[in-house]
Amino acid sequence: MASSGMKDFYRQKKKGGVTKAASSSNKKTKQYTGGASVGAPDTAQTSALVSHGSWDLKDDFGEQEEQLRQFDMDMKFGPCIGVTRLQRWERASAMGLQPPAHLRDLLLRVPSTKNRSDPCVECLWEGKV
Amino acid sequence: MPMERKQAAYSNLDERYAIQGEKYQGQQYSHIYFTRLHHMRNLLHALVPTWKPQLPVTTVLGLEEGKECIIVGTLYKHMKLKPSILDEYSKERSAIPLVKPHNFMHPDDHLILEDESGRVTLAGEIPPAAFVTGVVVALHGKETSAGNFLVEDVLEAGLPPQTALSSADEDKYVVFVSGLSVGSGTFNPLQFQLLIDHITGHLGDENEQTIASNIVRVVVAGNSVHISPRFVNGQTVASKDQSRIAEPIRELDIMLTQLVSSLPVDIMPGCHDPANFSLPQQPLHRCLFSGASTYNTFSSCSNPHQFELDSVQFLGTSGQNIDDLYKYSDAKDKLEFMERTLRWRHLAPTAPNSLGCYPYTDKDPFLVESCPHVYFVGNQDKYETRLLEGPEKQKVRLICIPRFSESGVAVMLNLRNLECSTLSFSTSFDA
Repeated sequence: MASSGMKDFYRQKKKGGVTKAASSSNKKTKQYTGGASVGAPDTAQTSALVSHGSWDLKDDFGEQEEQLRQFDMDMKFGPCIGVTRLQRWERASAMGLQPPAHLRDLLLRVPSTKNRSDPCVECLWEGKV
Repeated sequence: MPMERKQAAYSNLDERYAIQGEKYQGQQYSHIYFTRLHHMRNLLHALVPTWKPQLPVTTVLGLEEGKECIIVGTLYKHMKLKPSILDEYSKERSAIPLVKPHNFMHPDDHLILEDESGRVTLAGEIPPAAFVTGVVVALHGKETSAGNFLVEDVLEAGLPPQTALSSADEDKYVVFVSGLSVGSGTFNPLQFQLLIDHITGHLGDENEQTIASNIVRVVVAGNSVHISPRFVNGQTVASKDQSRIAEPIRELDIMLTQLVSSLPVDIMPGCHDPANFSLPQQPLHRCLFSGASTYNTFSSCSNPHQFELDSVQFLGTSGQNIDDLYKYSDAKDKLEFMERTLRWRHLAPTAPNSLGCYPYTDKDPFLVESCPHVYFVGNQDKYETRLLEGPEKQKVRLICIPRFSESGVAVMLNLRNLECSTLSFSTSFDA
């Protein structure tokens, strides 16, 4: 019979450890500890943020990138994702919204071989959503 | 005595509907709504001082309870029955009643106005049935204690400005035909051949031939061929069927070749034609028409199609924009939908919400910037026409072109006075 065959198949799988874990209430109460810190004694604090004994809160981008990120987040100039920063600047300019002029110079000067601190031609969210 | 066919100066204005050099960079549709709102808001802000000079204009975020003001934004219509792809994946069986296949309206539908700062639910003097998602309007009203916006008056952008029509003294005709559906069960080859013979002047007496010689152009407005759905279900087509897919197009090409050998023809793609699905539909490729494309009188155009003929401005679609409004709103006839699109200054407000549309980032090509003299829509159930007159002396001839394969009716327009008449061909004895 086909149906009993299927039951046998599933029962075989259930003989493993999976059934026990699912049926016990332990699994629900167990806190999610994140992939990297599994097994670490202190699960509340991941080690990444407290390197060298101080809070690592400083971002790794420069002043120019900061200005461009402010530009990205200004809804007055329209949605930023899907267009490059320069295209967005040009569109805003063509619509008469007067985007800050120095940002265009900044974007035109972006070197092709860039350091981490140099501004980016793509918007803040590019590749992240 | 030989007759000479009349000529009319033609210029194609389809450039704005061309998708060229556009690169898809993962953008979403928010850009279209942004550019639409920006352009329409500029228009509406210019109109507000003459409409309600004493009222302040504010944004959704700046609304204050009980204070009368004007807000400008994009409408969103919340519809209970609107089909959603997510419904197919929902775990529980929905209790929503069966939907009429042609219309998704429900008494509970309500409108929401959005701008960059926020959104607010609308109530009051704005009937949801008459509006659709994507229309930009200015509203006069005030915020209620419930947080809704109580609308007292609505301002639409109104008919766009129109160029003056130079007066002509001779009759010149343009013939519109739509929904030929070559290859379908309803297509009657004899009926179409009669139309061709009439236009090319091979039919009738001298009087009829004189009229035929005044026809300066034929516009084929979409759905010219019918390709059997079994060929387009996503499965590999057997080699013996491959030639059969092309048969309707080959037959259409033979018919069109007869037409273009005698007068200029514009052919627009429609929703069943072998073109891209989303608007603006790009011109059908010339290689589909190996015979007709050898004539310079043949022009394959985009949908929407915009052109000028002896200073008369034409604008038209193959019907998708109006058919979509018919699904999501209500009007007394199709012409009223057409009228609304002109007053909203937008050919297809429901794109990209419920109508496929290219994700433009820098423009909205469907904004109607100048008022056409002739506005036609193809593939409709029946022939309808009306002369629409605007407040600034605009005059627009609205035409619904019926499906030729079902009705046997083509529409003839006189360029001199924008009068419209039908050409109908019957091939049965008892009719």
